[in-house]
Amino acid sequence: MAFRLYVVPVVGVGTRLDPRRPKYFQSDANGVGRTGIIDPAALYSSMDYGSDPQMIVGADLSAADDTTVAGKADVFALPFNLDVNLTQQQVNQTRTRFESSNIPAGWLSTADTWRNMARGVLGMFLFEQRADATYAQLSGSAPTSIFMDGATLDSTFGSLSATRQQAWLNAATSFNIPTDSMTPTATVRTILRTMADTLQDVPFHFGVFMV
Amino acid sequence: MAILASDDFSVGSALSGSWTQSGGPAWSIVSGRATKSSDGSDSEARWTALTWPNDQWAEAVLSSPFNGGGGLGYGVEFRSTGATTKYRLVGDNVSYELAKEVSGSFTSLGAGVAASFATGDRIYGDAQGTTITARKNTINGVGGTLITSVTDASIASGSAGIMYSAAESGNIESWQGGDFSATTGVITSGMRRYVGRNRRFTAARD
Repeated sequence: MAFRLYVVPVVGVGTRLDPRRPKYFQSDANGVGRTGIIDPAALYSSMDYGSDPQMIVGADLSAADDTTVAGKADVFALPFNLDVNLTQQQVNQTRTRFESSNIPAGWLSTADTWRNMARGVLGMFLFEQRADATYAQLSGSAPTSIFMDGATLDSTFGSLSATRQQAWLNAATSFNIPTDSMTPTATVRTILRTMADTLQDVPFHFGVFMV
Repeated sequence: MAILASDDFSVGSALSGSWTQSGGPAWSIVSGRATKSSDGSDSEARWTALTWPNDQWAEAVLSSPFNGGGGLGYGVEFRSTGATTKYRLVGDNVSYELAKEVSGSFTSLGAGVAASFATGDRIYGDAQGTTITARKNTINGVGGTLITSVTDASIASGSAGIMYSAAESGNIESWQGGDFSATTGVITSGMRRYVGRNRRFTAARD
């Protein structure tokens, strides 16, 4: 039909037999027990929000599969055309959906196109991926996100554990992003947005498509 | 594209000392192919005889890839630090899966029946910055058909190698890995002459 981005929950516990994967997008053809609802021949790829249970999927689905997926209550489907501005109603809806998933969205306005929104969010996803992996290396445990530790978007950097703070510092440094924003009183929300300001300029690949 | 390491598995009955492996029983070499017993495990072997650049690729020629289910097969790994952290791409006669393992947490980045493999097909994966790419039938890391490309920042460095994921049968005929530096040499083509030195090309008319 046409390329589209979908924000979907993550399913799977994170083993090879039950991998973390985007809900609705895999089937038994991809692995025994992976119950999806779309054509297994459909091409898609996904980005996760680090260890958090959200993914953004880019896919070119059939009209029927698109209708099915986009109609799910736990799916947020972006418009096919990413180069139109959000309306105020869409700003409000997007803020509600994303903030409830620990994705900062207060920065959105009607001056933003959907592409601006997507790139801003994907930049945060990139940072969280690196930060959670870095935390796993430092702590010697499986990767987890700060939100799984009980933090919120309004938590301060100083309230995070020392290991978590170091993981965030290391992650920013690995991207050559200055760490000035990571002050004890800076909020998670502000820091993620600051990281995204730089990371949103990378090319975001979804199969043969780019955002 | 430069080839930094290769192995045609033509010598011995086990992987050479250039490889470091983990997971399940050791890889073996049978009839000039790297293979694993079908023990349902995951097993990787990464080339550790050199320090890999962060931007790297790995390509393997598959033989008799066959499975009864998706998400399994033989393939390649890159930016691997061992059993629990890597990007991996496996394929069989039905499907493929591109995935990441981060300190033991397994995430499928893309999978499906859109790409499958037969004897002689090449499976290729690379990591350039935050872009992770899977291709089929590249030659020395070049060309081929794009299977999928994703953006991911979880793993920044590691080694390239080979991968086995609970395949019912199959093996790897040969493997090579490399980076994206320009090869040094002189290429003459039509109206222009290109001379490559240390990643810089200058064009001059003949």
